[in-house]
Amino acid sequence: MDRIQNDIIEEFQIFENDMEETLEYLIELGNNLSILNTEYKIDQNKIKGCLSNVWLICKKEDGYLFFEADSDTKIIKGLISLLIKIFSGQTSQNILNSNLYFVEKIGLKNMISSKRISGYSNIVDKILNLAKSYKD
Amino acid sequence: MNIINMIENKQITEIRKQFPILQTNINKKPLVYLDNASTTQKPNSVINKISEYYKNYNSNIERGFHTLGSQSFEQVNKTRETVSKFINSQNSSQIIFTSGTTESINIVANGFANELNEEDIVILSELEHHSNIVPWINLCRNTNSKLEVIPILKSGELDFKFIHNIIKKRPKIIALTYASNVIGTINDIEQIIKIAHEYNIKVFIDAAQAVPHFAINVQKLDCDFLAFSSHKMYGPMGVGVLYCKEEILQNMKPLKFGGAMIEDVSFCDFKYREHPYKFEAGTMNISNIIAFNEAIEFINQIGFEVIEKYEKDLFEYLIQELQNISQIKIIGNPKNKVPLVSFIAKNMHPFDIGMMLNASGIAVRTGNHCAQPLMDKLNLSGTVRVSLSIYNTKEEIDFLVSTLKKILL
Repeated sequence: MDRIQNDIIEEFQIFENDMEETLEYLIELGNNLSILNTEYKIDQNKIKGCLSNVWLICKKEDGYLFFEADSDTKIIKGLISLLIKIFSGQTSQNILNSNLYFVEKIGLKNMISSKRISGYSNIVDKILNLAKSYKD
Repeated sequence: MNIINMIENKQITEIRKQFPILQTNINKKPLVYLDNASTTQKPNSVINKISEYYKNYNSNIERGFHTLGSQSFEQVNKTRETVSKFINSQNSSQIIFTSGTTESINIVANGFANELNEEDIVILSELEHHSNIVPWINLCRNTNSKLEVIPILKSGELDFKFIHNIIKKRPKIIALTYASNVIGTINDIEQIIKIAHEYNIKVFIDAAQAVPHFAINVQKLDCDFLAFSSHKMYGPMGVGVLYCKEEILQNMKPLKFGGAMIEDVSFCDFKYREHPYKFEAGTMNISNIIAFNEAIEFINQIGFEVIEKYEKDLFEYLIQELQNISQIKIIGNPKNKVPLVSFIAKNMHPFDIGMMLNASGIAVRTGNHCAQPLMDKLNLSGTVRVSLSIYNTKEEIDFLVSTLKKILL
């Protein structure tokens, strides 16, 4: 997973910490995220404590976890697409052992510092909780 | 636009120079600070006063008999006098220093704890901030009394028909905001107080959003209680004011108990000091209370006549420009507003707009603005709020509008 994070950091280096371009790219990534079926947009899958609506589901196939998500804010959706890139296709144990560091390195530190506003930590917590619940 | 041009050139440049933070860059762009309803920035006079206090006369007040202590005490009293004159209260002893509007409201709500029972009604409005909702819900829960809420009309103004009817049920208290932190509505407080007093109903006014924008005269308003915060009027954080009518202060019970508020104490009993000290237990935020004086002096030096005219014209320009952006819908349309506006956009979530504006150095507020019940009523999950202050300029509004046009394309 560190390799994927490093790839993301490298990918974002082109923007040289220009916030406008970084966000525009995140929006583009969010737009490219496959659509979450409306049947999954239920309270059970909603992440609590976010000021925007975020839904996240997890499926297990052959011992690996796969995540799908949606949000009504484009920037958060872009951020989620990066989290999915990192965590989808990993085992529960790998996810639980992971160390997330890419967000700060792509100039989005305020996503982490303003936890309540962005809901970032709640999204990560949800992923970790799902990984825990799918652990054999 | 005359007043903007006239004042801007001469005075606003000078005013802006007094705020060091306005010279900073955010995301490599000059800061455009349009979140003044959350908190205003602080002029040098306020910042310097805090440091002057710690350098020259830092000491607890009314503890030991020494020079530093009496210097601090004098300065705290000076602020009390200045606040008293600023809102035209009869005596400075009616000015209680708190940690902010929230604590002030909690003192008032707690003061009613022994007066209410299941027969009683507390009145709020749909325009209230959480800080003027939660203490009252708590009070109603503890006393089994009932909470009634004045609805708003489509314009964002209070429904006076409802007020006339509910008042006949003789509620014990009406707690209202002077100006809405979401829509900006300036409520006709004077009229409501008049009606309420005909039925001997007490009125509490949350003036947090009103106090930086126009003069408040508590004797003319005849309100029973009024509260506001220093940090929303160019002053330091952590200082608030509660004004109460003299006869109420005599009997109202304090919220906090501890040092400095008692005249006599043994392990069996204690006797309160007179107000305001009765309500000021513990060590206060002395440095910031002292610096708060400079914030009021800053306002006094410009004068509300200039502030009101300048902000009104700048605000009209902002609204006119926002109305030209087809994707934007402005929330509410009350006749009288403080210079703040909430809006949503057809094609973008408020959070995304806030983030994109921040990328251009523009600070606005997004979200539910601590007014969830109002958001529910308006059927909104959040808005973008732009709130102006005396140091904002026409150029800043132009930059906001052009950035909005670009990101909403």
